[in-house]
Amino acid sequence: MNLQQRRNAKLTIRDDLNFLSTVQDFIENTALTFGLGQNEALALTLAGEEIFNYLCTSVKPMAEIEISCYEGGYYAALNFNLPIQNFALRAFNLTATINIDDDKSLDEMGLVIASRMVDHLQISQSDSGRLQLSLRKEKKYPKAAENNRTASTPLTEEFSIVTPDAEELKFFISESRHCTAPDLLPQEFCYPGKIVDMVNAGDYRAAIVRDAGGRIGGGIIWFWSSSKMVECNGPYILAEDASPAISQNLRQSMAEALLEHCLNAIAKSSAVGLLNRSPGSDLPRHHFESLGSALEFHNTTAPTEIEALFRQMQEDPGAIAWAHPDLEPFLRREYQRLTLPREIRLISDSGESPADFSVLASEFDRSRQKVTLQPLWAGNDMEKSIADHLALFANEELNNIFFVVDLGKSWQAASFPGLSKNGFTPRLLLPYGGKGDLLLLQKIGASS
Amino acid sequence: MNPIAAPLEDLVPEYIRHFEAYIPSKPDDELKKLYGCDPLYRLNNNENPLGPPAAARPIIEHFAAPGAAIYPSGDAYHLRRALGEKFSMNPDQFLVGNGANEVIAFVIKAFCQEGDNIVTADKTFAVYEWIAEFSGFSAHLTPLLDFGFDAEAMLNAIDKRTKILFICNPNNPTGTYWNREQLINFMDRVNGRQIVVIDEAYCEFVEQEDFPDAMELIRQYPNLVVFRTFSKMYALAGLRIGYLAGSLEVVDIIRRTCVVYSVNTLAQRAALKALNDDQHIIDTRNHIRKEKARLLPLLKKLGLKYQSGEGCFVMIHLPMSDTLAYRKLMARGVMIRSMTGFRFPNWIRVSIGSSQAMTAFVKALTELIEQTSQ
Repeated sequence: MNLQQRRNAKLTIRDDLNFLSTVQDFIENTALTFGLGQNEALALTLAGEEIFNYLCTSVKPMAEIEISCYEGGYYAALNFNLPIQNFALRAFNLTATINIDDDKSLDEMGLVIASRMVDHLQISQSDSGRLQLSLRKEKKYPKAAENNRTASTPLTEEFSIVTPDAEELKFFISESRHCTAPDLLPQEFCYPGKIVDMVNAGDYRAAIVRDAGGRIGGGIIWFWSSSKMVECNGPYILAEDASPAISQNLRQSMAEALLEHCLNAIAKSSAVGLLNRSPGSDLPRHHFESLGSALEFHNTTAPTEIEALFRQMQEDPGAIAWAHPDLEPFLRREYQRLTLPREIRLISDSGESPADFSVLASEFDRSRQKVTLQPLWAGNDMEKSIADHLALFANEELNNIFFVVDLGKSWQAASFPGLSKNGFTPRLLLPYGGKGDLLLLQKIGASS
Repeated sequence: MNPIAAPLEDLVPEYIRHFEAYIPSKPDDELKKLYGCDPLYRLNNNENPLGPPAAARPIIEHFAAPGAAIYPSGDAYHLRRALGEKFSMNPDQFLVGNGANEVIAFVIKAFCQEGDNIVTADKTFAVYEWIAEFSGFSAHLTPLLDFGFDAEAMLNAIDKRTKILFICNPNNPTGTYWNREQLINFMDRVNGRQIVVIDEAYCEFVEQEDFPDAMELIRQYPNLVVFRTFSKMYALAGLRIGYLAGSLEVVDIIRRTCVVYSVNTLAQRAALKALNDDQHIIDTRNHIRKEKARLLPLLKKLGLKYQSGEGCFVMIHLPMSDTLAYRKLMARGVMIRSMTGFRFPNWIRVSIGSSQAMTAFVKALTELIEQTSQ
């Protein structure tokens, strides 16, 4: 399935609660048509209902709302798109209509309820000022069976890199789970059928190494995580370390060939960088540079440190990074360490009146107990707004809280003091991840 | 009143929507500021460090301002006559463009229509592939074989909709070349069914006896089109001028897509003078030979694999990301070409520059490698 083949349906409707049942029917029918099971379709419908209800009662855009449903192959996506004046943006703070100290009022928060029912929820604002709420509900896939490892026979020195068919892909996924530490594999690897659908949908790309005898020696998967960034999982070589099935040289050349295949596939695209967030032992590290690391907190086990390895795909033309003076030492140190040509421009307070309120967009990834905040609007209540969001997340079992600042946008730099006071620490810089470099901050401390 | 937004989704063709614009590097003064380096040696564009030929210099230095008010010759009349004389061909067998990039576009526009494709290598001068794709045609890419164009793979990639085959000879960036026998064999097997473009942007640098004279082969193969440029050996890159040559019938077709008046007066006059400055070619070849002889043993000493063939450049394989190496070398005042975009990850291409620039490059590279191995 490529982009052209993806089906979609669109409903344009006024912000009027009398249309609620029309909206419900539209979402449920399209979700079922796009292949979601009954339970998943119902969850998406309930989430959509909460959003529509919230838009009509709290946001009141006094305009038509575009509701579109997209077929993603392994998921159905639901988007609400509406024009919005800046003064009304405030309603998109998750904390807009609730009293953080009152547990009961949390249940009245439509956006939070919606976020619990779907796999991803994202609030974003386009350059033209339109606001988009994007929800995604994935199909349910059977977990991979805990099969015994297929007996490994020695691989031949000759091999080629090919695009796998569905069965080859599932074989690679299944075998890689035997040869790689679980924390180095993406969660999707527990669901081989999902990976096949992700590849068929064009969201994931995969390549495997096949030896002269037709045996699969390893593979790599990559995907676009934003319009400028590609991430890869792997390469994974299907043999335990020091296995007699494969010499160290062959192992390295297979991994190198897989990575080069991925690099060449995106070499002439708009990708500015390739990221690897879980570098395993087979990853040819000399292709990458380390951006730094973030911690991943779990409910029961100790946090794991996730290193982000990065490689630029294009020559760096240099850029401007806007920063609050308190952030300058970190940026100078990191830009120096990474040899990134940046002109740091400090924002200043010249007595101008700040906006009255801030707006934070939230992106949930419940499977990882993760939420990422990004400023949509900066005002003089930034510190409090962040604190309110943190209090809300404490009740939502979200252990991994991140904040992303786009250093290419001067107004976002003002967020830093509020972040710092709320326990956020700068973790790493992602070059050209947004309009400029993205600074990833992580909340370390009490609620994590 | 609010401005009316153009419905770009409806207006922009699919193949443009997904095409990524080429972003050239910033000017030197900006780069020096950003990377904190001075001087900055540009060893990224294969420019000739000797500068324009002596015969062309007075033309450039004394171009009179009133001349800027007058349109140039629309079809480079005098230059085409001079080219005809030099190669013993009819002046109408030449088309002059605003750099060789423009003549690539002329040929593609002349022969391709919706559904057609071109065939070229995956790791060569990127502009054939770019122009084909942003014009809505697909590019069938074949892997290089031992760093050279693979004739067999190219022939196998031809289908019913293939219109043009592009061969860069010698190849940029690998410096490999097809000799006369290989080229003739390829032309015979194509058997006139497609247009074959031989891009000879670097041919004046080649000193090998068996390098083919593609101009001469046009008589034998009317489907052969040859590209040449004044940007490389003749060092007129800043004036943007290049040309193509072919049989009268083929050039007559390409002329229909040709943008007239696109080549400025100064470029035409300088090229006319540069064309027969043979001493400039001798001097440049001597310089390239001397500097390569100095560079290659140093690369070997550093334990670096390299690919050095014909042309004014060398490709070097690094034990690190080439884009990171680009930044680190820039910080040391040397600009090279990172090769990820050519589908050669972890390779860089360095142009042979002035002796001073090459000394700076070797010093910066040595520091980089020593730092990496620590």
